[in-house]
Amino acid sequence: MISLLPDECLLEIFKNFRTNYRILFSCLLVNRHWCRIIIPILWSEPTKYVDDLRLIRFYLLDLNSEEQALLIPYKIKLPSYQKSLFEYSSFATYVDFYLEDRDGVKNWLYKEGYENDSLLNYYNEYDIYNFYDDYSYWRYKCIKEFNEQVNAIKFSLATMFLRTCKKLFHLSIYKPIYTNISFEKIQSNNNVTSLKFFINNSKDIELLVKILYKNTTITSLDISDCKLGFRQFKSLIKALHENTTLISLNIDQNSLGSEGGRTLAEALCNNTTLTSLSIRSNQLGSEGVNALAEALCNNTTLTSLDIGSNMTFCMTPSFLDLSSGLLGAYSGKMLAEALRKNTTLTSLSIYGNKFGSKGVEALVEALYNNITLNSLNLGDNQIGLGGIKALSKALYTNTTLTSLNLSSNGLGFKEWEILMGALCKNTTLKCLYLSSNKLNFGRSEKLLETLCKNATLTSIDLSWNSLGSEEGKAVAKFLCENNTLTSLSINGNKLSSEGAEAIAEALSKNTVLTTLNLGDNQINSEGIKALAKALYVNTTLISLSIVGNQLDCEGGRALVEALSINTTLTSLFIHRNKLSSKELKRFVEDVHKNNYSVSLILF
Amino acid sequence: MDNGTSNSASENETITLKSCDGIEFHIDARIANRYTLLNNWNGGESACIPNVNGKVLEKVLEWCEHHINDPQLNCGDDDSRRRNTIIEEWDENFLSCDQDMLFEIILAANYLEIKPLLDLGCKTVANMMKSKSPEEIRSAFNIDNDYTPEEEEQFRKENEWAEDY
Repeated sequence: MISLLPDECLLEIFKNFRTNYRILFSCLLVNRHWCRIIIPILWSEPTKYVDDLRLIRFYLLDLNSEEQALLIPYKIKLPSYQKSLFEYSSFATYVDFYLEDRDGVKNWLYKEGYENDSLLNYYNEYDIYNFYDDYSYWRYKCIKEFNEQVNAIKFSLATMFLRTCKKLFHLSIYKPIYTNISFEKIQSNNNVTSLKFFINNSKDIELLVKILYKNTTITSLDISDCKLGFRQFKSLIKALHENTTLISLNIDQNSLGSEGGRTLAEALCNNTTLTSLSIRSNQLGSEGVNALAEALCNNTTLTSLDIGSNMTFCMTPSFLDLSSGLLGAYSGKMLAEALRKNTTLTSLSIYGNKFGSKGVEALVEALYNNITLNSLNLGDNQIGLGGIKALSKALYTNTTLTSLNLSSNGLGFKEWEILMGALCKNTTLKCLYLSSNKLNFGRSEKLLETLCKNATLTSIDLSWNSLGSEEGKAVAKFLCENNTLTSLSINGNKLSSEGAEAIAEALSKNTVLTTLNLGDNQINSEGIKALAKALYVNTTLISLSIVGNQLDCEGGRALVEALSINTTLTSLFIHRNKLSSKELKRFVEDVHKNNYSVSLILF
Repeated sequence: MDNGTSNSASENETITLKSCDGIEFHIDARIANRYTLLNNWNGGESACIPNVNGKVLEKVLEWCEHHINDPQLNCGDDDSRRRNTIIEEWDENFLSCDQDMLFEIILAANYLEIKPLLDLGCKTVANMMKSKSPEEIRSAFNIDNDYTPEEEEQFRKENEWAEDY
C-alpha cells in the first residue's frame, strides 16, 4: 500500500516531476494528503519557472488591506474571487521580479486588471498561451501608464511575499518597483539570504551599511546597476573590512572609478569571508585594476573575481589604440604577478578590457606557475595572434585550467589552428568558449584530426562564428569519434540542412553528448526531419535547441513521432521558427499525448 | 575518482546482518562500507535490523550486491541525480515485483539510507504515475478520494495553470 510510505518518501517521488507540473497537478487531485505535500512544490518558485496570469490572480487574493491600499492610486481592478484554499504566496522560496519578457503581472494587467474595460476588448488571437506578448502590447497606447501600474502591482506583491513567505531565501526586486520597500521589511523576513535589489538614495545605503556591520543572515548581495558613484559607496566598501557574513557581492555598473577600485582593494586585504566579487563596468581604469591585482597578492579568501569591462572608458578613439595597448600590457603584468602569489583564486574574468596581445601575453605567463586558477575569461580583449600563441604555449604545460573563454576576439582560422595544436596535448581543459569569433575550419581535415586527439574537452561553444555546411560535416565526424564532449553550442552559424543532416547522423552513433544547440543555422524541414530520425535511436541527448530555424508542420510531425519513442530528451527549444501560434499549440499537444518527460520551450 | 571499492575492506571479508524476523545474511563487507548504516548492525548474533524483514532485506542486499562496483555518486547534487530518468534494464526487472514489495523496498532503502536504491524506487513509482488522470492514479495505487466534490473542484481551479508546464 502506498499509504505505508512516509511523507519524506512521497516527497522524493513527487520531486521527480519538478519539471513536469502536469503530472504534479494530477497527483494533487488524488487526495488531501498528497495535495498538502504537492502544493508547496508547485508554488515554490513561481517567478522562476512560470509566469502566468493565473498565478498572479491568486497572489493578488493574498494581499492584505495595507498592500491593497498601495494600488488604490493606480485604478487597478483586483480580482474578486472567493479566498483561495491555501495562502499560496507563503510557499514561495525564490521570487524574482527581474523577468521582463515573460511577465505574468503585465499579462494579468493587460487582460484583466484595467478598471476601464473598453481598453481590453481588443483580443489578440495569437495570445493562445496566455503570455503577455510585447508585440501586441506595443500596439497598445498607454505605455507609460501601463508600466507605472505594473510596477505598483509588483511592489505590492513584493511587500506581500516578504510578509507571508516562510521559506523565502532569494528575492530580486527590479529597480522601478523598488520605490520604497524598506529594509526593515526585508530584515523582518529572517530567511532571506540572497538579495538582489536597487538602491537609489543615501538613506538606504546607510541602512545597508548598518546591516553589513550587524552581520545578518544575508550572504549574497547583488546591488548592480545602481550607478551611484564612489562617494555613495564609500561607506559600504568600508563595511566590508568588518563584515564576516557576506560571501558573494555583485556591484557591477556602479561607476566606482579608480578611487573605488583602490578602496575596494584595501577592503580585500582585511576581509576574510567574501569569496565571490563582481565589479564589472565600473570604470576602474588601469589604476583600479592594478590596485586590485596588488590586493590579490595578500587576499587569501577570494575564489572568484570579475573585473570585466573596466578599462575601456573615456578614451578618444585616436588615443585608444596606443594607450590601451600600453596600459593593457602593464595591467597584464600586474595580474600575472598576483596570480603567481595568490593561491586561492580559482576564477578570474577580465572580459572586455582590451588588454591586447601584449597584455594577454604578460598575463598568461602566470599560467606556468599558478596552480589554483580553474577558470579564465579573456573574452573581448583583442587577444590577437600574439596572445593566442603565448596562451597556447602555456596550455602545453598548464594542468590546472579547466575553463577558458576566448569569445569575441576576432579569432580566425590561423588562431584556431594554433590553439588546436595545444589542445591535443593539454589534458585538463574541459570547457572552451569561442563564441562570436570568425572561426572557420579552412583545410578542415587536418584540423579535425588534431581536435579528435583531444579526449578531455566536455564542452565547446562555437556559436556565432563563420561555420558553414562543410564545418558541420567536420563537427559530425568529430562527434562520431569523440567520447568526452557532453555539450556543444554551434548556434548562430550557417550549417544549413546539409550540416544538420551530417550532425544528425553522428547523433545516432554518439553516446556522450547531452546538450546540443543548433539554433539559428538556416536548417529547413529536411534538416529537422534528419534530427528527428536521430532522436529515435539516440538515448543520451537531454537538451536540444533548434531555435530560429525553419521548423514547419512537416518537421513538426517528424518530431512528434520521434518524441513518442525518445524518452531521454527533457528540453526542446523551438521558438522563433516557422510554426504559427496555432500550429505551435497543436504541436505541443501532440507531443504531450505520448511524451510526458519533455518540456517544450516556446519563448 | 573513487570507484567505491578502494576502501579498507578486502574482497573476501564478510559481515553478518540479521533481519527483524531473525534471518541471517552473510554479505560482502564492501557493501557495508558503501552504506554506512549497514555497518551498525554488523555482528549477527544479538543485533538485528528492526523494521526490515527477511524477504525485503534479501531483495535490498541483492540490489546492493549487483551494484557493488557502481561509482559513488555525489549525493548532495539533487539535480544530477534526477536528470537521468532512464532506469537500467536490470533494475527495471529487479523492481518489477508486486506493489507492496516495491513500497517495502523503498521504505527499507529510506530507513537504511541507501540513497541510490531509494531514488530508483521512487523513480519507478513516479513512472507508474505518468500519463494518468487523478482517478487512474487512485485506482492504480488503491487510494481513497477524501475530497468533497466542491473542494476538488476548487483545487482544480486554483492549480489548473500547472497543467501547461
